[in-house]
Amino acid sequence: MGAFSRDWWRLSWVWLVDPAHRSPPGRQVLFRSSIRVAALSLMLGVGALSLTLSIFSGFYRTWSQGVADALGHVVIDTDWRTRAELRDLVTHFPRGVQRVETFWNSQGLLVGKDGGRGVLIEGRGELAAADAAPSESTPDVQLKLGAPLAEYLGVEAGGTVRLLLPGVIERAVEARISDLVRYGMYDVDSRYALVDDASFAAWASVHDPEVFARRPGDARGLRVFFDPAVIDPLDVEKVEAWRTGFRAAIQDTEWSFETTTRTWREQRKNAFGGMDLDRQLLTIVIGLLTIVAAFNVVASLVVLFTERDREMATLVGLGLSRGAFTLWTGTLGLIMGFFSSLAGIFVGWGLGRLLQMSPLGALPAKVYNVERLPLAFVWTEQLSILGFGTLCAWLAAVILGWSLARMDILRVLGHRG
Amino acid sequence: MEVEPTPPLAAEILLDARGLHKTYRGGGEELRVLRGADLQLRKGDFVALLGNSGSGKSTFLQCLGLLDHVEEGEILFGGREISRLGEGDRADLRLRSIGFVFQFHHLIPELTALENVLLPSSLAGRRDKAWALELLRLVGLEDKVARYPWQLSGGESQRVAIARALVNRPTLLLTDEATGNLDRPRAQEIVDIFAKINQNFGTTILSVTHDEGLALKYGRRLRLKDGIVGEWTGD
Repeated sequence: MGAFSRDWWRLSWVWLVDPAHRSPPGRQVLFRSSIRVAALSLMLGVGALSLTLSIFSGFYRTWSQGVADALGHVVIDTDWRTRAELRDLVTHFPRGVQRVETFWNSQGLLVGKDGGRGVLIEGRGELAAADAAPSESTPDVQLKLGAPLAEYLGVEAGGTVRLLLPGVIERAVEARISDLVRYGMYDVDSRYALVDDASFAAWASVHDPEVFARRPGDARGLRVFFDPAVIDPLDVEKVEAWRTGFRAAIQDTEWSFETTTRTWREQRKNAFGGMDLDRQLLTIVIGLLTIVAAFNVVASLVVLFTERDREMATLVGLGLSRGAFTLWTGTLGLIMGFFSSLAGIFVGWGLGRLLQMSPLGALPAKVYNVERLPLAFVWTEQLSILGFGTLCAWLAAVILGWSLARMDILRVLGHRG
Repeated sequence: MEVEPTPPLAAEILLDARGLHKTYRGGGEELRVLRGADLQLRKGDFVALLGNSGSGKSTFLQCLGLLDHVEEGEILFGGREISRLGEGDRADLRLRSIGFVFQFHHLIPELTALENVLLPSSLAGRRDKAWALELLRLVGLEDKVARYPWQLSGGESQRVAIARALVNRPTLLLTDEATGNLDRPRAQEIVDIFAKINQNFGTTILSVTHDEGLALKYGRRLRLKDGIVGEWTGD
């Protein structure tokens, strides 16, 4: 039609909105109702998709942040190395690093007043700290525990547990719980036992000098934490770019030891892989529902064309070409699809907020370790949903328009028997 | 010395239909409506086409107006063969060069008289409100431009349809029983409007009618009988 002229928009508007003052008295309101139902249907479909993905993104973000903060944004594994060697390694880091911690880990046993549990004990220390030296005092070994683990052992912050590290030290350590942490992922929180390396080295220098002499503050590798202002640790591509830069930097360096690097995602590969799979499956299922909802837009356009078939045929008779007709129906579908989808995203957002505030938004902490329903409206995701809903409606309307453009106008106008 | 009449210049011929055939098939039967119908219209002609009910007048007009297809024959419009054109070109010709008025007005009910008249010019991308108003004045509806079709009488609606058919300044106007739904005085008014259009704008007009009295107002009268077009002799 004449390049989207004023009359074109007027006619589209009139037919979509069907204002009462323009309609002949007694005209059926079937179309007006059906178009509202169709728009509502698409809106709810898109709203469901939007809400589901934002809940998924919320969990994903919460858990990702928790895992990344607990385990380090990137881990560099070596065999046991001295601090000097590890500091040399750090000089090859690309920019963006805020903090580096040394770590070692070993299978161990924690015993509290309610019971014991075998866990992977990890010792952490600041790389920047001075090299450990024999200590004369015997401070408590400081230990951070995941809240679910502490609950299982029957201990609280400030209390003590017995720590056994067979193969590392021969005697049991009475460790004081300095803090309880909750990163939101049960897998991590229920086995999280972090020994402060400095306090452990000081303890070992007094109670197990042989062990201390063997490894005075050595570590098995580094946990690297980024400055969020420079590198968003959850931005997988940026983290990957950092790792690539690091590998390139050490490529030509003659090391006497091997290093391997793992990102936070790779440290919990199975969990995040499972989450990705769940997200994909749900996206497909709700995406299909959205397509069905989009076809409601087409159903309403069918009503539009059947209720106004004579007017449509008149337009074709007047010289509206098939291409222009298809363009027109496509544009009507596009407009309906866009605004219904946009409304759907607002509905999804609003429902999400309501859910968060309502009792339904309270999650069983023992299952999820997240107290409230996490929501993250990722704009790229929401834009994709908006595009998806609009595209579905547009495509369906174009297909419909293309087939309707072949109408027998004389039959529709009642001039052919 | 005998002087031979000068043959009409090719440029004067606006429409030249030659040997048109059209058959309707259905229920195992065939109805041959057009059997080699010929018609020549010159620019500025004002022609009535008469015929009995079911004689194929409307079919013939619809084929000339590119609303229907012929099975055999050719239609030259301004010297150009148009019966075999693709849908896009046919639609373009209907839009810009051939106006068509049906027995029923087929106006868009939600648009005012003026908006209805403007519609084809918008379709053609050359919206001309002043011209649309001029046409509405010509058909005597200058005081009803903002009325909706359901607020107009049958005759008034038909006059809007005529204005709409003329808004893109077609060289040929085809009207199919345009007065069929109107009483005698209203029908007379419509034919008078056709005559005025023919005289004022030089638009070639071919009107299908079964009303011999109205046909007398036309400059030339033809008859379709047995699928063939011939001169109407008044019998």
